[in-house]
Order: sequence, then structure tokens, then C-alpha cells
Amino acid sequence: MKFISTFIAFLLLFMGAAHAQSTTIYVHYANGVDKPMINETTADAQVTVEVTVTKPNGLNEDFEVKSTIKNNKTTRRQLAADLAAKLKQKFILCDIDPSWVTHSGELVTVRNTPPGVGKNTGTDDNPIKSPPKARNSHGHVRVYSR
Amino acid sequence: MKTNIRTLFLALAVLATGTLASAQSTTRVTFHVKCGSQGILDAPYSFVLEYTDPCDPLHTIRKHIKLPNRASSEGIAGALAAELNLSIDNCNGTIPPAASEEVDEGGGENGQPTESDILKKHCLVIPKSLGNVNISACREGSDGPGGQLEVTEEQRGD
Repeated sequence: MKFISTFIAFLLLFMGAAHAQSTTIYVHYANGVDKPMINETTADAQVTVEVTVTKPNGLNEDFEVKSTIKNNKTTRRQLAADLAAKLKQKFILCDIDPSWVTHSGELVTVRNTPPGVGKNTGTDDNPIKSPPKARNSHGHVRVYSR
Repeated sequence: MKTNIRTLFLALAVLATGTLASAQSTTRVTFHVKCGSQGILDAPYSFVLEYTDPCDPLHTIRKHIKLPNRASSEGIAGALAAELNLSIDNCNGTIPPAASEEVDEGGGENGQPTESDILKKHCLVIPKSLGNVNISACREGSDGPGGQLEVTEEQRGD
């Protein structure tokens, strides 16, 4: 148990779903983006990311991707890039535009809804320009040892 | 020594705001996002992104983006670009997407930026045709020696 908690203290994937349009996967670690992540137990670990996407036909699709953090080798950038690449592959297989997944440094952004969906324009008298709040979670992260 | 560094970083913590004018889509606006010595933040930051709705130029969209400590300048620029692109994609207009770019400045050997320089500074490139864009950043909490963030604005044509 100590092993897992120690590792999570070093690595945290921050996922935000502040609104319905996107989910942010953020690889959080103490050092720079291109420094290897170190687990004091010297073991590798596996990360699982689950994201729910509303397809253009209106149906929700759950996606799960896994990636391995090699102790003292994998960097934050590499982990984010790997997760983004695997999500793109799964999107293509489901006829979803892979450009819904973008990657920048240690951060991956996933569009959860088709363009134009979730946009709330309100009324002429009371226009609302912010997208509506997400009604349920669009994703979460699991981190566990191998 | 540690106290001096902390003071320096605190002095560098900047709340920067840029307001840009609408113009042709062939020009762009660049926000330089600069993080401290390691290229990552030492505190969580809250960003407010205000911009003209690409679908309705008469309205302004305001979004709050929170990024945790250890965020890199590249990650910050990417997060802001992704947020802008969500709105741009919602319209079938001709506005090109926003993007994040590596810093393109000399200073290292042979006039090339060093790897450290690239990590420390990243750019958010916004098409001018998007209209008014306003970025503000506020340091939230403390998890280290100061919030090392600096955002500056530059306008230029491609």
C-alpha cells in the first residue's frame, strides 16, 4: 500500500471537466516537462485514462487508454504524447475526428462534444455565452503499479 | 540565498493583460508565456480568457481555466489555445485555429535558443481575425518560491 501511495505522491494526472466541451489530462510531476519521472520504489507503473465522448450522432462512447511510466525514463511530455496518440487511434477507429485530441507539453485536451454541441447562446434578452456545466463526469484517471 | 531567489521570483510574478484589436486574418498576435528557471510554475494559477465570440462578434466569451502548480509554459499556452479553438471550431467561419509555438529567439550558441530557453518560454499564437482577446492570470495559493509567470503581448504579421 505504501508503494502505491508513494507513487501517486510523485505523479498525479489532473483531469478537468469544468464544462461539457472538453476534458484536460494533465501530467503533474515535480520536475520539468522533459525530465524523467522517478519512483523511489524503482518500479514502473501503469496509467489508465477513461474519457467519455459524445459522437456526432449524439451517442456517448467511452474510451480507455493505458500507458506505462517507466521509472526514471518516461518524461511528462512522453506520457502525455503517448496518451494523446492512443486516444487519436481509438477516435479514428470510431470515426471521430482525431483533431479532437490535442497535445502540448505535459497536457492533453480532449474535445467531448462535436463542434456546435453544448454551445449555449441563451436568449436575445438574456444571452449566455458560457457553455453549460457538465452533468456528469467525462473522464477519470487510475494510476496503479505493475 | 534561497530567500533572495524567492524574493526575485515574487518580483517576477506578473499579472499581465493584453487587449488586442481586430484586423486581417493574415496577421497574428503572440502572447509570450514565460515560466521560471525550470520552465514550470511553482504555484497553481487561475487564468481568465475573454474573447469575442467567433460566432457572434457582438458578444464576449469569458472562460476560467485553472492550471495546477508545475504547469509548463508550453502546457499553459496549449491549454489556452485549446480553449480558444473549442469556440473557433464551433463556427464554420474562416478563422484559423490558435496555436502554441516554441519560442523563436536567439541567445544561445550560434544565435540559437538553448533547450532551457525553449522550455522557459512559449508562445500562444492567436489569429487577429478572432477579434479582441484578453488574457489575465492570477496566482492562487503557494507551493514554492513564488509564482513565476510572466505574460507579454506582441503583435506582428506573418
